[in-house]
Amino acid sequence: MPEKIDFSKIRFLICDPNALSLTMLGDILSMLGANYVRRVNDFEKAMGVLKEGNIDIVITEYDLPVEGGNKLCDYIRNDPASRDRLMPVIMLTARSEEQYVVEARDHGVNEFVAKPYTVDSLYKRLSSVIAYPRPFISAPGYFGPDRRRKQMPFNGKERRGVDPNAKPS
Amino acid sequence: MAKPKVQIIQPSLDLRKRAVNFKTGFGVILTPEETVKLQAVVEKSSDGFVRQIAAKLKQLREALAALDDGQAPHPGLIERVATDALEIKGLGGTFKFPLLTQISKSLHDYAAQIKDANVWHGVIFAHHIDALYVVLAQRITGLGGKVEAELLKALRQASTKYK
Repeated sequence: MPEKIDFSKIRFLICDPNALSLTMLGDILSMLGANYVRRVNDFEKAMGVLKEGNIDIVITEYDLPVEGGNKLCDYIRNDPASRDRLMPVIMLTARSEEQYVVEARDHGVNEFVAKPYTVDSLYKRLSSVIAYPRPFISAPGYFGPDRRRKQMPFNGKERRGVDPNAKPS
Repeated sequence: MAKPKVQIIQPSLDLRKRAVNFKTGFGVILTPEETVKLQAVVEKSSDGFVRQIAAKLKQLREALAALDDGQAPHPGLIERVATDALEIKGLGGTFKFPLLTQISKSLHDYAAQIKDANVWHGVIFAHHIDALYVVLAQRITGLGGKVEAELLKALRQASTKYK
């Protein structure tokens, strides 16, 4: 029997300054069954919602008024006040050039979806962060999801500490 | 032994435990029927998209028309063109207007690289905006045909020539 995702169990924060994009994304999540979707159009409001807690997944634009989506991700991953440093962050943006993808990845974004997007491409990323979450890496200068997508054979000395019970500090 | 500098932290399975099941919700992999349901949500927003983009283009046209003869676009206008073009780029393809996405990408890239504005920048803006208008007004979904490909090529050439 195939696995399903019950989106009513997940609480979303979606951030986009474009009203139409925000509405459409909210409507897609509602169609999926999500009934807790906080919609904001700028960085400050997004921070306010995050500080309240009660959010499981953030979907954000790169371009948010005042500060960008990467800054939001920085707060989630690195701020001592962050409620959940492992919270999935999906970046949904028209800035699809490689430099923005790399930048977002280095700020700890889990998934990057280039606009214009299809519902299928968005869903794959959502499904991935919920059903198949990636391990996190804590390293000097980086805290976020493992940036390696492929398992490549490595014949050198293993220099990373692997602690299955490690929690973010 | 020195403390390892890099730690691998096992993923949190909280969301998986809470939401993944065998009874309710959408499949971890979407079925064609589920995709159709979600696509219907996008189509429902399609009229709003056309209205929003038409209004933006009208405002940009008016702002360009308000420039005096021989006047270069001011920084605020250039920034607005770049911002609006980026928004159109991000939405066009979702609503089956990939040509809008391509033209607005050309416009955004052009506006974003301007350092010292001159009168030609306004002219190139106007040509892009006119092209976007035509695509929207004629409801040219998909990438169009030979004429549209030539138009896009001409816009890119003009953008390169009048940097």
